[in-house]
Amino acid sequence: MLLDPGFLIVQTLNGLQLAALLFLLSVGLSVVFGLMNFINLAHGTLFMAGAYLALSAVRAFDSFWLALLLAPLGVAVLGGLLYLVLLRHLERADPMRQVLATFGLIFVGVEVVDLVWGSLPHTIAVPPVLAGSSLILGQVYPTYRLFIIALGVLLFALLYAALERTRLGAVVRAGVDDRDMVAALGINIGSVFLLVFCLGCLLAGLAGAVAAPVFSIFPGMDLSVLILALIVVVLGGPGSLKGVAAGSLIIGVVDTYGQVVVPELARLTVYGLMAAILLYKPAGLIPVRGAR
Amino acid sequence: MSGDVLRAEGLYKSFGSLRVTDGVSLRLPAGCRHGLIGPNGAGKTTLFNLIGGEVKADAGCVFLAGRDLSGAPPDRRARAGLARSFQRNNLFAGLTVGENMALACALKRRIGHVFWRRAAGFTALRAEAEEHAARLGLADRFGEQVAGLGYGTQRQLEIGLALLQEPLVLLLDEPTAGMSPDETAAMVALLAGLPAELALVVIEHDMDVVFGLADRITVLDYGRVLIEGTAAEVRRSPEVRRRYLGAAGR
Amino acid sequence: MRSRDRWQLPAAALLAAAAAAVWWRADLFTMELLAEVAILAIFTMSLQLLVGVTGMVSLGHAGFLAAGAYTTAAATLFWGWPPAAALVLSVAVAALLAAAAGLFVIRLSGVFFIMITLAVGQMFHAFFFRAQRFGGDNGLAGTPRIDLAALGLDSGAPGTFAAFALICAALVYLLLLLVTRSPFGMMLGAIHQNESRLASLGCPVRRYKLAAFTAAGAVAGVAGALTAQHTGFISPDLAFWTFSGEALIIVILGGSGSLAGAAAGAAVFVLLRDLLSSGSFWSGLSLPPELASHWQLFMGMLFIAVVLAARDGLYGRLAWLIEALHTRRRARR
Repeated sequence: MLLDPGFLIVQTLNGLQLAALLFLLSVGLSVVFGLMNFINLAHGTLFMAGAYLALSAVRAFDSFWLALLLAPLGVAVLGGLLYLVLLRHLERADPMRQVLATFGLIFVGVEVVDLVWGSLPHTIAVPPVLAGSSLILGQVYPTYRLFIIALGVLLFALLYAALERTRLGAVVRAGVDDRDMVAALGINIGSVFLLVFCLGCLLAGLAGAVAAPVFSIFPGMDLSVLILALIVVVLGGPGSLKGVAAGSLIIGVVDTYGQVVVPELARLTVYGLMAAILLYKPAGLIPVRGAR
Repeated sequence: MSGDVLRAEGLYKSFGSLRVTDGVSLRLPAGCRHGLIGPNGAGKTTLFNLIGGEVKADAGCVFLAGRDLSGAPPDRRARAGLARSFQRNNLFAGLTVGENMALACALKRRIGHVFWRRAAGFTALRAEAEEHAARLGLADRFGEQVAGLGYGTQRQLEIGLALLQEPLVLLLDEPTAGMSPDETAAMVALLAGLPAELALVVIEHDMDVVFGLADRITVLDYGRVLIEGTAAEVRRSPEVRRRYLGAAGR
Repeated sequence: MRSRDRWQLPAAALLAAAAAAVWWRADLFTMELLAEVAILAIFTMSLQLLVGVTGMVSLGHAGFLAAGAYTTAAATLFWGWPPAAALVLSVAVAALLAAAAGLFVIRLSGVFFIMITLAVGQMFHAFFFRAQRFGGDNGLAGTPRIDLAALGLDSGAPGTFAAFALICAALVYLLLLLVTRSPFGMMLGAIHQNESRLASLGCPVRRYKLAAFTAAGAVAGVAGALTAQHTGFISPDLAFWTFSGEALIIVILGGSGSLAGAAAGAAVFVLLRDLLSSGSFWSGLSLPPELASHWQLFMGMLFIAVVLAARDGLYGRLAWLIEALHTRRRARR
C-alpha cells in the first residue's frame, strides 16, 4: 500500500489540505499566544462560527463566494466583541483563569449554535466552478481540495509579506519578541492586541467557511480541531508564522497518514509529540528570536 | 587541604555576549567577615547566584566544607550549609511571619517530607520560630501576614530566614538597602552578634557598614576581582580610589 | 484567607451534616445523585491538593481518574478480582502512572504546565479510545460493585452505595486535610507562593511537586474505581480534557486551597446540572421546558461567571457565614 505512488500522492494531498486548514486556524491562536501569552480555548468555537455563518450566508444569498467573504468578517466582529467584553479583563489574570474563562465559552458556543441552527449536521455544496475533479500527477483529485491548498499557500505568502513589510507587522514582531519594550516605545499595545485578535478570528472564521463544504457542520465540530490547533501552535513555537506553517504541515501530514497507516496509534503519537516538544523545545521547532 | 569553608574557583558566566562574571575566585575561612563591593553592574549579585546555584556557571567550581557542589541545585547547596538573603525581599507574602519561620525551621530539621503528622504537633518548631522572632525583634509581628508588613520589617525577616538555617556560610545581598538609619543600626548590631564560626559575605553599598563589619574586602569591577585585601589595604589602593570610590563620588 | 483556615473543619462538618440529612430522607434517584456528588468530590479534592494548595494547574487530571476506572473494570471483569482488591490496584496504577507522567510535567510551569498536562490527559483518552481490549470508544460495561455482604449490606441498593461513597469521600477528606496541615503540606503551600525561595531554604522542590502530583493521581484513582463501581459502565470520555476543565472550574468555585470548598463545589455542580437539565425546573419558571436540553449553555455562562467573580469561592462564603454566626452569638452573651 505504502509503495503505491497513487496512494502516496492522494494521501499527501489530503495531508496538505488538512495542513492548509490548520494553518488558517492556528495563525490567530499562535500570534495571540506569542503576543499576549494567552491561550484562547474558544478559538475552535470561532472556527465553528465561521462554518455556520457561511451556511447561513449561502442560504440567504445562494452564493458560496459571498459566504466566503461575509462569514470571516462576521467572526472577526464576534471576536472583537469577545475581546472587548471578556478577554480584555483577563489580561492580568493568572493563566488558569484565562484558560477556564475561554473554556466556559466553548460550552456557550456549542449550545448557541445548537439553538440557532439545530443539532443536526449540515453541509454546504461546493461551488460549481470547483465542483469537479482535476487530474494531478496522474491522479484524479477533487478540485475544491486543491483550492484549499492553494488558499493556504496564498495566505501564508500574504501574511508573511504583511509581517515583514507593514508597520503593524513590525509592531507584532517586536511585541512577540519583547512586549514591555513595545509598550515602553509608546505604542498603544491595547489597540494592537484588538486588531491582531480580530485578524486571527477572521482567519479562524475563514478556515471554518472553507472547511464547511468538506467537513460536516455540527455543534461540537470545534473540539477536535481545537486540540489539533493547540498542537500546531506548541509545535511551531508561539508567535512564529513560519512555525505555524511548519507545524501545520507536520501535523496535517502525520495525522493523515497516521489515521490510514497506524489507526490504532493515530492521535496518541500526536499528543506524545506535543508533550515531547513542550519538554525539550518549549519555544517550538522554529522559535521566535529572543523568546524563552 | 585548607581550612576554607567555602572555595569558589574560576567562576565564569555570560549572558549572551555580556560576560558578567569573568574568572572570579573566592576563599572564605570559617569565621571570616567578608565584604563584596563594586559599582552597579560589577556582577556582585550574579556571583551570589553562581555560588548559591540559582544561576548555572559556564565554568568554575564551588566547594562547601570540602564537598564539591559545582552544578548542584540551590536546595542541595542550602542543605550543605549555604544560606543567603536576596537583594529584593523574597518571602512567602501570603503567610504570617511565624509561618515563614516555621518553613525554614522545618527544612533545617529535615521534617519537610512528613505528611502523616500535623505541623502543629511539632511544638519544638513553633518554639524555635518564636524564640527566633524574639531575637530578630519580630515577636509582636509573629501572627501578622508578611504582605501587610512595612519594608524594613520584611527586610529583617528576609535576613532572619537565612539566619534560621544556621548555615556555615551566609551570603547577604545588601541587607540594609532601603532601611531607615535606626533599622540599619539594628541590622548592624544583629550582624555583629552572629556566631563567631560563621563565614559571612556581605554585598553592601553603605561603606560605613562594610568597613565597620568586614575584615577582608573583595572589590569587583566588570566581572573581575579588582583587588582583595584587608579593609585598610582596599582603602589605600589607588586603583580602587580611582575606579570605584572616585566614581561613586566619595 | 489564612485567618479563615480555622473554619475548615466546621465547614466540612456542616457539609457532612447536610449530606447525612439528605441521605436520611432521599429517594432512589437522589441516592444516585449523592453517590455521584461523593465521587466527584473525591476527584475535585484531589485536584485541589494539586491546584489550590501547590499551584500546579493540571488540565489532564481526568486521565488518572480514567486509569483508575479502567483498572477496576479490567481487574474485576477480566481477572475476576473482587472489587475491593481492584480498588487498591486502581490506586496503585493511577499513582504509578501519575509518578511516571509527573517526572516529565513538573519541569514546566505556568501556561506550559497547563498545556503539557492537557497533552498527557489526551494521551490517556486516545489510548482508551483505540484500545479494543478495553472496548474502544464503546467503553466497558458490567463492573461489579464492592461486596458488603459481610456487613449484611447490599451495595447494589442505591442508598447503601451512596453511604459507602460518602464515607469514602469523608475518609479522603480527612486524609487530605492531614496532608495539607502536615509539614509536607506547608511545603506545598510555600511552593505555590514562592518556589525559588523555598529551594534556597533547602527544599528539594521538584521532588515535592512530584510527590504532590503522584498523591493527587492516586486519589483520582480512588474516584475512578468508585465511578466504575457506581455506574458499572465506563468510556474514554472519562479521560477527555473537558472533564478535567470542569473539575478545575469546580475547584475555583470551591475556593482556592480549601478541600471542603472543593467538595461543596462538586455538590453544587451536580445539583445545578441536574436542575438545569430537568424540564420541570424551566416550566416552573414559566419558561419553555426545551431549555433543559440546552443546560450546557447556562453551565458555560456560570463557568465564566465563576472564573470572573469567584475570589475565595464557596468556602469563603461558608467561612464568612460561620464567622458571622459565631460573632453574633458571642455578642449576645
